[in-house]
Amino acid sequence: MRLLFPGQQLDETIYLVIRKHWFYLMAKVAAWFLFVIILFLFNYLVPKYFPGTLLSPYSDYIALFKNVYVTFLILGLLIIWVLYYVNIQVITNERVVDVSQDSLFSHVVSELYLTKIEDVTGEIDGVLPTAFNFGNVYVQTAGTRERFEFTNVPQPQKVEKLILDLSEHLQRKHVGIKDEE
Amino acid sequence: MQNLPTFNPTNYVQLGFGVVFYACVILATFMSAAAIYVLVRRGQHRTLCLTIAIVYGLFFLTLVGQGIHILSSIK
Repeated sequence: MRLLFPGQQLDETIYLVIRKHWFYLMAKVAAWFLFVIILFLFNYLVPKYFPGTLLSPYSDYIALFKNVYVTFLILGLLIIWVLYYVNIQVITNERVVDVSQDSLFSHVVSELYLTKIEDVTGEIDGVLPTAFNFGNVYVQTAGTRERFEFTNVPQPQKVEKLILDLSEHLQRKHVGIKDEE
Repeated sequence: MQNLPTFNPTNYVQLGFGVVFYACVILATFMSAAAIYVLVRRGQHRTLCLTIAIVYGLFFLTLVGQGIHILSSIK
């Protein structure tokens, strides 16, 4: 497997790679599917109510329009899936990394060292998040950025517990090293 | 009007459709290239990313080829 984010060390242990819950992807695909339904309705209704469109050259123009429409449909599906797939949060033994691809031309990588974490909150809010067990995780730090947010992640309580456990372990380890010094 | 290898417009309506079609194709090609670049560059699993890129590329080229064929058959 290739490196997940810039600056990843070879000896860094990856505990968890998180993507948004599949329900979030399905909601976007469902919205995309509406446009597919529009195409089918167009195919059914236009010849029925405008039979002249079956004759040349109108049929050729409509075929060209449908061709371009389908091209953009599959492009849209690709973009939906790519943006879902490359948006990840990574929890390692040293830090939490948020790789955010907001659009095709916007890429942001944020890192937060586990020793800087003050508080972690897992939240499930709403009927569908409760039913499908997904929600948000907020990581509170003492830095200029107030909160690290992971939105629509699966099993937010487990993610919260993992981050807290790793953070406490690392902070105790650092305190132990300072005491020895 | 100048004869192009892919379509030969005989009036301004056909010319307009051709210009719009090629503009859409250029835009879709640019966006597709950007999406595939992001996928292959930042994807976690290289094999999966390359497979999806190739399959999408085949679909895309087929559709564009079909569109060019439709455009060239317009009389």
